[in-house]
Amino acid sequence: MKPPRIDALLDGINLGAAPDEERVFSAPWEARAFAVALALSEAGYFSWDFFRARLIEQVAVSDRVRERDGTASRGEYYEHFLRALEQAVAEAGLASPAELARKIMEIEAGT
Amino acid sequence: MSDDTIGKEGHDHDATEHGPAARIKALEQLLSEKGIVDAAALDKIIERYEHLVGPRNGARVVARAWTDPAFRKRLFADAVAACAELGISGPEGGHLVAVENTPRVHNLVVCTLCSCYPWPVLGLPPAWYKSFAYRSRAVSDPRGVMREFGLEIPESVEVRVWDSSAEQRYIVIPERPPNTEHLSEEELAALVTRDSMIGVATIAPPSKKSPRSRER
Repeated sequence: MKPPRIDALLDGINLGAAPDEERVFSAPWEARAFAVALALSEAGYFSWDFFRARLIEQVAVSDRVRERDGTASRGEYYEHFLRALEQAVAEAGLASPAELARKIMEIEAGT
Repeated sequence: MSDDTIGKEGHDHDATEHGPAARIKALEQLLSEKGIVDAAALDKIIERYEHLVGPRNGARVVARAWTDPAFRKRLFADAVAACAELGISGPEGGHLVAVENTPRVHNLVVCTLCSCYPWPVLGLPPAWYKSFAYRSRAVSDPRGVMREFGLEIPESVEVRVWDSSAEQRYIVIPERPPNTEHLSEEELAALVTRDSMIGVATIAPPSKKSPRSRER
């Protein structure tokens, strides 16, 4: 006798596991993004509040798109998280978007 | 980078046209080459939040609050200090406030703007907590949202919704279920679910077979 799960509410992202057993991250890249953000804030490159302000902004943009178009075209939470992280990293002068783009090309060319 | 464009064309050195896995890999590698982050330290952070920091900590706090009236009083007066008594503290643990469910009041926690959540007691938030659907509806229709979790709060019970922020995080102290007088603090903690500490569930009395009843 399982009570109805909130599938409609979950946007299809719930993993259906018992609550305490759901995985914290649904993909390895999410875990890496979280760890990089936390490591940078713990090391003092920027504060978590600095990062959070950018995260809130990314979430708000996604919410507006969703309300307007009814689509999740900007992805789910960790995609907002990653955009906020890239932004925080650039603003803190740690790595520019151009550097990042070059590094992606480099990795792609090398493999 | 914070623009609102959906389709992008051309090559304008914008990393965001790549998939997230490629982007974070590049970012980590770049920062690591600059000596800013270290892969082993990142592994440790992930390990900590996947396995060590989680709702079992909050369950210990709840069980203590059920069994120790003096602790309970301290918890509602200063949750940060009370949790520290149990050795529970860490990032995102400041400004913690404990809110009490009673026969007349039911509490529900949300973060409407992003994902603020009391990490030291509950770990990282579940996906649904961060979803647009939950964030956008928990305030306007809390009873409807809770119903979708299988939780029906009677009209006679007041529902209080707490919107988390950088300044304030919340943990719900659920009501102790009946027929648990004989249980130890540890056994009580095993009854406490994560969802009950967010407020989308209440705690069922223990079944005869298993002390860990967590159907919802």
